[in-house]
Amino acid sequence: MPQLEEGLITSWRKRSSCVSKAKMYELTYAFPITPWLIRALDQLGTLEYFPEFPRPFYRLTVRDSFQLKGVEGAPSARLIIFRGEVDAICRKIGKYIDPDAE
Amino acid sequence: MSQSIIYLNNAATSWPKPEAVLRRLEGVLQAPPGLQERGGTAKADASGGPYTDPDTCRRTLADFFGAAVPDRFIFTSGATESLNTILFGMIPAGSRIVSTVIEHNSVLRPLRLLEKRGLIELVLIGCDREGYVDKEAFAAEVEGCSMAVVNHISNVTGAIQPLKEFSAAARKAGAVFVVDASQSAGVVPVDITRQGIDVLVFTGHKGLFGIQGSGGFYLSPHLECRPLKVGGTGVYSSLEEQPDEYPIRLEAGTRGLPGIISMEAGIQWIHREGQAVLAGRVDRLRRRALEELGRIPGLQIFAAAPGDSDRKAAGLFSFLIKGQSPEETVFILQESFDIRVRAGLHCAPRIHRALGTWPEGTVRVSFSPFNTDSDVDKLVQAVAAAEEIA
Repeated sequence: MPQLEEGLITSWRKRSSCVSKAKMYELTYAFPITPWLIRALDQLGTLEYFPEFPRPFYRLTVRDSFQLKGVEGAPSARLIIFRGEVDAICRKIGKYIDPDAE
Repeated sequence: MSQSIIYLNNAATSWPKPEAVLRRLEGVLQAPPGLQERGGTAKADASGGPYTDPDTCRRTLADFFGAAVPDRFIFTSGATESLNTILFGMIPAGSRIVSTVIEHNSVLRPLRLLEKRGLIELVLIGCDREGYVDKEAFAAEVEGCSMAVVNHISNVTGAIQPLKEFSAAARKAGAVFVVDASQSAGVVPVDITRQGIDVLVFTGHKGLFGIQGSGGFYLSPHLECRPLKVGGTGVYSSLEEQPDEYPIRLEAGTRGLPGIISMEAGIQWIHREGQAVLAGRVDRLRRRALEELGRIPGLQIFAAAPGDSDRKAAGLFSFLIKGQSPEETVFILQESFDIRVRAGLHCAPRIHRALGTWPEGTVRVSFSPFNTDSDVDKLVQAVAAAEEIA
């Protein structure tokens, strides 16, 4: 599993999918994601956040590039890539989201 | 896995297992190795229960599936190994084989490989929007075929195929009738003799409530099958060639005794509870789920016999939320609501072309007798919430 530099995302691994063409990854966060950090994802694209769910669900869509989704309090998330490379996308997310700033 | 999880993925593997199965497994695993193997002499397993060996399990299977010859039950690691053994070991080169679009890849892939090698001509019979195979087309196409392979229950819609009608057509045509009972064994009555089945394939870890890595097949006494693998049998060890005697001809290597005994314990549990009672419980849950999910406007349901019908259906169905991928629906149900269902093609790619759900597939819900009305309520609530954000 590749290790990334310090930041929100510490590592990623490819997930096999029943639908073969999807590029799907599981990202591991440095710690369980908080509401503050979820809202901060808004800087990257279109964020939808549903705090009324038993475990609040969020979905970040960056048009023509990727979708990131997960639930509040979870130490991981799912990344689906439409275009681009996983390393670059993870670094982009990490660049915008600074866990220390909370 | 936490008990708070709502598990609705029983078509993949059943969970939880009955306590009786767990206790028997514990006993087997605690017993000294060798006592229950070939040539062994044992008295009782460590759970204090009656001693069981694979041959006892063969008799249980023969009784359960209505077969006359227990030694024609062959143990394998599951349906895939069984089907590979049969399809590579029984089909003569130059054969025409008929099968259906509702088959699992464990049937389709070996048949496609044989076709690619130029050894067979393959004909696949279509199905309707509920997953029922076209009986008339089957009867017409089976003529001149050496083998017919039919999936008893669709693992996408739950359609139960009327086996007697298919077996009658196959018999008339002189074709060996092979039934993939992966979804039906333990779930609905399967009777080899009455349903005219020549070869029955089953897995242990679904409706028989055994563990993964268990399963087998029944081969009618008038048929022969070449082994997929050869090797140690524990008996006739002076022979340097694989013995011809069944079942050991097709059981080279150490068998998965815990799996075999888990199947037997599962069948005994089904007998005690009553197969009809268990099936009725599952059917009621399925009907209720379909009725309530049917009220959600953005839902497209793919189910066999959704209303009153003389067609029969097992405890599973599929659905799609308009504007949401199956992958996302399942992610939301799992991560936000702790509900385990399955997304995708369910290893049965061809039926999705017939249903119009290719290439993304569907979300599949599959019940077991351990599910409750509360599970259905929570499923409906979660699907409604997922649909709202599609």
